[in-house]
This record gives sequence, structure tokens and C-alpha cells, in this order.
Amino acid sequence: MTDAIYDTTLVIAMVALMLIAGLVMVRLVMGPSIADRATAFDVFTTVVIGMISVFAIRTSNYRYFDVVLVMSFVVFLGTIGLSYYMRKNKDE
Amino acid sequence: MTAQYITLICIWIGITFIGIAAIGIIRMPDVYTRMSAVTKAVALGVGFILIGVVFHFNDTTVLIKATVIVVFLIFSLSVSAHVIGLAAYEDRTPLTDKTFRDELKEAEGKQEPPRTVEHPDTKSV
Repeated sequence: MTDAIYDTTLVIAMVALMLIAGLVMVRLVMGPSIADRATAFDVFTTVVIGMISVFAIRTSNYRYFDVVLVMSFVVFLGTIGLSYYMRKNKDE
Repeated sequence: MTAQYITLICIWIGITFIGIAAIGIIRMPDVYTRMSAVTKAVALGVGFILIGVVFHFNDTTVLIKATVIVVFLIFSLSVSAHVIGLAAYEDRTPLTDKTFRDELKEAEGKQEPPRTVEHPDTKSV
């Protein structure tokens, strides 16, 4: 396999991930409840994590991998915080 | 050269899983089914993509980081789905019409005296 085919396949993979992110974005905009939006945003960020990983392969630069590490930590905190305020609103 | 084939195969398996999850988040009728369909498939897909990254770089540091990310993603996606599901239930997000058993409602009903008339707020639409 030549490097050109390898690189082209990686570009096609990134485009596929972008289309998937668009599908998830539909649910993020449409979502009837706030839990739908929270789930959709969770999935969207995970798709972005996949995109950054493929980008790290394309550029052969493993430092982009630290971005993935930090991003996976931050998303979790955001989701937990959102659900905390959802439950807090219910008590009042 | 073999590592490139393994990388591409792992990445495309991962993208297939994430695509199935994206179809699930569009097609499923309910918040709870959406969450159940999505979180596992996405964790599996990103895990496959990270396996592909490890085969590309062939480096110990990348292997350790990828392991940390995969383990943390599996934990965090499960926990956040659980917490959001509980918050959605307490927020009285409606269940789908096809729900035939609501075990949380049954468990809450056992602690209180039996109700003859269903309260309008707790009625699932």
C-alpha cells in the first residue's frame, strides 16, 4: 500500500466522521428534552475525539493525543454538571 | 506495511460502530432507548479507532495514553448515561408508548400506600 492511498483513506475516514457528527447535530437541534441534547452532545464530543485521533495519524504527530486525553476528561465533567443542575431544579 | 492495513481496518470498524450509534440516536423513539443504544456503541467505536492509532505509532507512551483514554471513556460514558437517565426520569421526561414495564415506578409505588387514582404529574404520556 502506497502512502498516497493510506492518506486518502484517512481523509475519507475523517469525512465519514464529519457526516456522523452532522447526524448527531440533527438530534442536538431537534431534541425534545434537555436529556436528549445532553446525550447528543456527549456523542458529538466523542466523535470529535475520533476525528482528532485520525488527524493525529495523518500528521504522524503523537502530541495531538494529549488533546484527546484532556477532552475525554472535560466532557465527563460537563455532562455530570448538567445532570446535577437538572436534578437541583426539580427539588425547588 | 502490515501495520497500515491493521490501522485502516481498525479505524473503519470503529467508524462503522459510531455510524450505527448515529443512526440509533436519530431513529430511536425515546430518551432512554437513545441513551442505551448510543453510549455502548460509541465507546466501542472510539476504542477501535484508538487501537488503530496505537498500531500506527508503535510506541509505548501512545499505548499507555490510549489505554487510559479507553478505560476512562468506558467508565465516563456509562456513568453519565446513568446519571442523565435518572435526571430525565425525575424530570418526568415522557416514555415511549411501547414501554410495557416501568420498574422504577413500581419500586416507588411500593413505598407508598397504593394509589387508587394516578396522579396526573406522574402519568407517563
